Amino acid sequence: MADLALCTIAAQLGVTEADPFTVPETAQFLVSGDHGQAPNTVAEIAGGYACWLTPNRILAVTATEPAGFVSDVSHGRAMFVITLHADDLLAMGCSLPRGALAEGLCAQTLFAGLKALLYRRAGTLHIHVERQLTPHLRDWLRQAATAL
Amino acid sequence: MRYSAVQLIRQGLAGHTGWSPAWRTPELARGYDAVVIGGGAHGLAAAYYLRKIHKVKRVAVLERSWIGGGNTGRNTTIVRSNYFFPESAALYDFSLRLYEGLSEELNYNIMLSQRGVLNLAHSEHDMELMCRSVNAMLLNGIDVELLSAAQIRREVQTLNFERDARYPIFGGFMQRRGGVARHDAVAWGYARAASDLGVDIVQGCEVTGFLRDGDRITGVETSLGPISAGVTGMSVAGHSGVLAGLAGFRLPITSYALQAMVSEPIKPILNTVVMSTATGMYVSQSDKGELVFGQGLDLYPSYAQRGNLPVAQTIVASMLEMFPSFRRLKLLRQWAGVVDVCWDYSPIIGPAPVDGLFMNCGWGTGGFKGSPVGGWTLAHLMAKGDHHVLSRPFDLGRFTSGRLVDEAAGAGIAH
Amino acid sequence: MTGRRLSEGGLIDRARPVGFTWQGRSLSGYAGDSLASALLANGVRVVGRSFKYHRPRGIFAAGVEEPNAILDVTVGATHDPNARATLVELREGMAARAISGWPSVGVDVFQALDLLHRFIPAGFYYKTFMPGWERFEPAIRQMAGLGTARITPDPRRFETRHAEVDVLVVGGGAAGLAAARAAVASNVSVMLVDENPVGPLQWSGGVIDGMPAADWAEEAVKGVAVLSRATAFAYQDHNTVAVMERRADAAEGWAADRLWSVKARQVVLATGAIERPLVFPLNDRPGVMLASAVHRYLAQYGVLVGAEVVIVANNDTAYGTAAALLAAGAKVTIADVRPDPGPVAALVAGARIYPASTVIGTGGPFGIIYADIGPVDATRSDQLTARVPCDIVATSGGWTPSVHLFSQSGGKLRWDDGASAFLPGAGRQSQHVAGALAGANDLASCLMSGHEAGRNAAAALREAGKRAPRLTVPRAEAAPVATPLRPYWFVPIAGARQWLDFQNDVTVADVGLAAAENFQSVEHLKRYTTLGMATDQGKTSNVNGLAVMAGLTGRGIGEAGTTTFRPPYAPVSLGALAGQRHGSLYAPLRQLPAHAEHRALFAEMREYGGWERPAFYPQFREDPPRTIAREAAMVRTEAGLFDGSSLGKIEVQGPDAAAFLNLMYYNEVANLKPGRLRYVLLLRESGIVLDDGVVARLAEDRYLLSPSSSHTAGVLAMLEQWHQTEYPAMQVSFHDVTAAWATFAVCGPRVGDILAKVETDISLATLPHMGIASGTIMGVPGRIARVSFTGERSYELSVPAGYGPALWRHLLAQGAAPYGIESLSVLRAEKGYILIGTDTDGLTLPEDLGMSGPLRAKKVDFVGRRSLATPDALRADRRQFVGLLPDDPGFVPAVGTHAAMMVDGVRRSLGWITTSAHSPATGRSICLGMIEGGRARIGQSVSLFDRGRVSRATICSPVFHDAAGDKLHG
Repeated sequence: MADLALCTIAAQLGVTEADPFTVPETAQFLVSGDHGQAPNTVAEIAGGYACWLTPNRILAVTATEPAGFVSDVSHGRAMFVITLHADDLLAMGCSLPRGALAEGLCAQTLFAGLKALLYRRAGTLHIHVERQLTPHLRDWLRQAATAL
Repeated sequence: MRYSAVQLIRQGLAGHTGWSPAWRTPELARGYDAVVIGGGAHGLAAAYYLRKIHKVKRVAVLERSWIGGGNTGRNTTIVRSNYFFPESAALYDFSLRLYEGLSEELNYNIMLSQRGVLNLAHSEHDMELMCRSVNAMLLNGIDVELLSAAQIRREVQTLNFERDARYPIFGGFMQRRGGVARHDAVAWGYARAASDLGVDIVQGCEVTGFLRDGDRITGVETSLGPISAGVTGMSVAGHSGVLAGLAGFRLPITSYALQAMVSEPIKPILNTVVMSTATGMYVSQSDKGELVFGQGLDLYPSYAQRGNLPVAQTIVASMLEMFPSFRRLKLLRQWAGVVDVCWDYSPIIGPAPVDGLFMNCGWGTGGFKGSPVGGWTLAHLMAKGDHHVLSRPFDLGRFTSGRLVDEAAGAGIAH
Repeated sequence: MTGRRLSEGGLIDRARPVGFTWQGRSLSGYAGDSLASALLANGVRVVGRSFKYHRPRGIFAAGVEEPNAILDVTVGATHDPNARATLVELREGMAARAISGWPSVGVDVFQALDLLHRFIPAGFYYKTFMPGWERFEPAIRQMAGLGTARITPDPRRFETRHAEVDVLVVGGGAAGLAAARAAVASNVSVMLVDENPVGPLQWSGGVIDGMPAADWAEEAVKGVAVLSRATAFAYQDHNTVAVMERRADAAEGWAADRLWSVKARQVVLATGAIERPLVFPLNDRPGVMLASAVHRYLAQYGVLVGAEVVIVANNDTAYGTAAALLAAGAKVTIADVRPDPGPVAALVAGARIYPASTVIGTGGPFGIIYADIGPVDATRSDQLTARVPCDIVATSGGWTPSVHLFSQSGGKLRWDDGASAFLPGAGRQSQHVAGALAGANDLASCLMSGHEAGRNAAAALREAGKRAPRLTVPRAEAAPVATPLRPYWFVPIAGARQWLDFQNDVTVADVGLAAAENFQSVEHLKRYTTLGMATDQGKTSNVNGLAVMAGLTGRGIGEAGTTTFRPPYAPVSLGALAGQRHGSLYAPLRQLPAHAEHRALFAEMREYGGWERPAFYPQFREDPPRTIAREAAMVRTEAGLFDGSSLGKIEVQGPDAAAFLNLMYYNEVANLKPGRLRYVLLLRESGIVLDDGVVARLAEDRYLLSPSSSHTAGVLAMLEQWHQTEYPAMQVSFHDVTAAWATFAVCGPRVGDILAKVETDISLATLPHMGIASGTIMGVPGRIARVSFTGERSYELSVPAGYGPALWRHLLAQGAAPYGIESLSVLRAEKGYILIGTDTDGLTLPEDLGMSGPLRAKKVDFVGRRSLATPDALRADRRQFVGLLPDDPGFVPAVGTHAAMMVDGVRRSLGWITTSAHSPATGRSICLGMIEGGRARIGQSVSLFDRGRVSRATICSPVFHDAAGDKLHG
């Protein structure tokens, strides 16, 4: 069994009894407009960073709400941060080529059969999935850990 | 030469030296009264009925490769007529009734096994839609029954009745007259009977263009030279768009690869054909013991006759979701055909937009069960110049009038 | 008893015995044995029965090409009903059984069929059983099939891996290793896969670069990622190769099979060649084996398969086997088809050689006891030169390169007369071929060809200007001058039974029959005779079969061609292909933000449109109809609380938002005022109603769309597609924020009391029906919309999803009682509100629903408008949405009941019931349905038909309760 450090940042992975009004620590925004980023890149922006989603859209992970057509999706996406065995998990969970997740790049693909946004930051692997699907990702990660 | 057990014994004693060819290899003539393009089960059936029913004198079937080598040899062999709309029910049930008498009519065992086709319901909503379908079928004279989960469990023990199944089984409906038939035998049976009646079956003959007199098609250009035809019919599943292009028109058809798979043979374990709309999978067990199954399309237009691994994995996963214990078994063969999918998932049978040419195409993923009626109605069109009552609703004109025969919609799928 | 273990030799570990059972008998083998080698070492001869004639079968080969030794094998919790004994690694406690033969594989009553063989040739079943096939079919099915599958669930999990490499080498023989070595020297990533647990060079002997081949092999793969026990079974598009790895040490709970999907920039195929047997009369007896297999059992497993061996061959390679057998103390006789075997004869001093000879007959009902040697042109079975007693006939008819993967990848094959084989021709993908696959036939040439392939693969990846590293070609002693192979396909004795396919019992006579009956193309040959369709996939029979067919039809073998090679190369586990895609991961269900709250209330959770949602909230001892009735009544008289969080939410913004949405929707939406909502329909181009829902205008350039929960993804895709492909110049964007919000509907006469206790800065008093406002709710950002799906006064409160559970609990605490989807369905039915996908299907047009007003009012074009003018759309007899009241108010017809009328004595459908329920508000049963010309029939009585049961109902308006809508506007 491998020791997998699983750090869940978005509090919507489970409402704790003790804290009825939970607020995600990191805000996420969909921003549409002319962002000027190259496809599949992660750019530094004020207060955080932005992941390319489409030629006209980025996901801004930042405390400062950006300008333009912005929708706050902080409560709609969970972010999993994996610090160990990321390469093995990627090999098991998706078919991305190795180079697709070099530092500074991001990718949208199926991971463990779920639509996900993936990127690396400071050596850790970040996986964003829709909050409604997080129980499945959690189950998958727990099972995958036993195979490592 | 008649086939029979007595003949087998006689030939067995004579060292099997007396069998005649199942179909002749003819001297290709330069002209025929009727030419059918496409040597699959539909085309061979059309040729047979042209001679047998309509007494057309000189008939030829042109097949670019070897007969039955296209979708006829690649399908999962299911036959059924459990369709929703009266037009479809009439068409497919006529086909099934032809199947029921076919072995005797052709003197060739097509190995029809009417072991039942079961469609599963996975929710209350599914059951409600099935009730609607069942009643529609009953009113159209098709034999079906709605079954409860308990009844299904008695018939098919290997199904997934686990409590935490992703798609629990709420019930389903069964057509007992449905089942499977040996696909190759249908092609070979029609070929032999047609050849015996004088039809020229020409293999290795690819149609490369059409001969015209003004606006009317008068024959075909082929890899073996030009052949004139009083009337021409096309029945080339997987390549209908290509042939239409040669004739100068377009069809509302997209061609996709449809994969099918076969497991290693095992002792009898599944005695019914089972289909599931939730997962889209369909499975049966062949007489040899192999599980034959399929599911969805490789959803990119292609003539490649092969699919890729991700869809293959989805097909297997879908089947195993219904039959979890089959996980231990092994995949033995995998292949694909090219299916011509039509907008409303019903075939296109009728005159082409060009005079002198008649079409039987667009059967999508469901052509095998329609082989006899496809041939029957195409023969009628070619011999009479007009529709048989069964094929009229499937004329190309329905895309202009809007009178589609949308079976997927009939099943309640608001797609 | 013939086979025995030698006291030394082989790679097995004699210090580690392994106990197993065969047919219940306890036997012993060693670590490193395959199940087949252990059985042979224990003298087991008969391991199965052939499919048609039930003749005894023995182990024939040593690898994946084995056609006969298909056994039922159990190890612990793992069970394989069709295990190929040559690929099964022996494990302690393994239980192996034969799968054919009754009462036993040794004494099988069905062998009586062999006496009738004359009457059951290939394809006999097409010529009889008409009529009556259905009567015989069960018996035939019972005779068919190999092992028996168990129906207990399989608890194992299957792992999948993706890998990406610069160079993938398939095959770990001399050529593959040389290729890997050459490639890795260029500093590219190299993966090598081989189907064996132990590489062939470990036991085949030889000297390479001055050291034992086994040592050289270990050196060669330094820096290479090696997967052993890994069969590459499919070569797909984009240079992706699927590999199935059988692991010896899977973690607990995980299956031993692991599926790899390997994407390689360059592939080197070094898949080798498989020996094919010579064909001769009665060549199917236990004891007939491939010569290379006999050699392998000796060299790898230390098993001498027989004491007296007759070798029948047409080429040099079998002489290596002969020499090894002589050295192990066996008596060897050789029948060589060639008139002069040439120099190889010197290797086998001590063996009697019969040139220009073959085997023309064999004897021994349960295993070979003698072989008749006669001239190659013998035409009668009594023309024997010698009857040689033997317990093994080792046969070698040449080598068939394993072109399967090459062909799967799109490569073309060409027949080479000199090699008497199909060789790879022009390839289509980024690949190279090496070794025996490419026609090399000795160690030295395999090494050279592999080296070159590896270098070429690396060169293809090298940057321009960079130089190749220096690396010498591995050297081995060149083989002695060879005498060419002489093609020889079968013995010309009329009436002799000569097998081609051992598992399916296909003989040369069957091919003759197929040729005579015009099944001459290779695909017809295969399908008619079933040659090559058994579980060994024709690896040792295909080429022999088509050579026979080619000869009979006067064609060259190349002209006759081969059948198409398709995956899998060898049978692979279905479970491994599906991997982890089963159960909840096959199609993940979405959970509501307040999921735990619903569970805590013991809600009955069901799947609706991909979401897990509460159907109803049963109280103690309540059955579903009572629960639903109670919930519905409560909404009409008090206040109900509904979780609508799964409903779609798409924010649309941009200067052209209004104009674009007006192009999409059936209804006019450009004139919607900010702060207002409108009920809308979305059509397909065909005019069919795709979805309904509500559109809210939040600001001049900002809208919020609310598609139904099962259609959100489809609606979003439709908007994106129209925008990107047809109207890209319009400035508008779409954000799917469904997941970010929790939405609860509070409705009923007492809704005002409930909401008075909810702290919000949104003024409910001034919020009109079909209005929406933003502000804060309980201190967090929120929205309130006044819209109703129940016909009661109703407000939808939305907050960010994380706050949902708390808001839900707060609303509950104020006295709103929860109700689920089933009761919502009853409430909306009472009001005649449609449910997409229930009351509508893929044929329903807006006019059918009675919603033609918006069309008349709308002046601009929109998706689907044109289709509303087709002849079919304008038919008078279209099915229309109406209500039905059963004559018996206590009878609730099943949904799916048809309305029918008699036409010429036959009942014809007029349409069907789409919704049916007991209505608490009216105290009787109500139905909604789609009936032909329904609106004109209001007031008429119709007959109802449900699976034979007939009843009556009256057609009416679909609104059964509060038709004026007073409750909404109060």
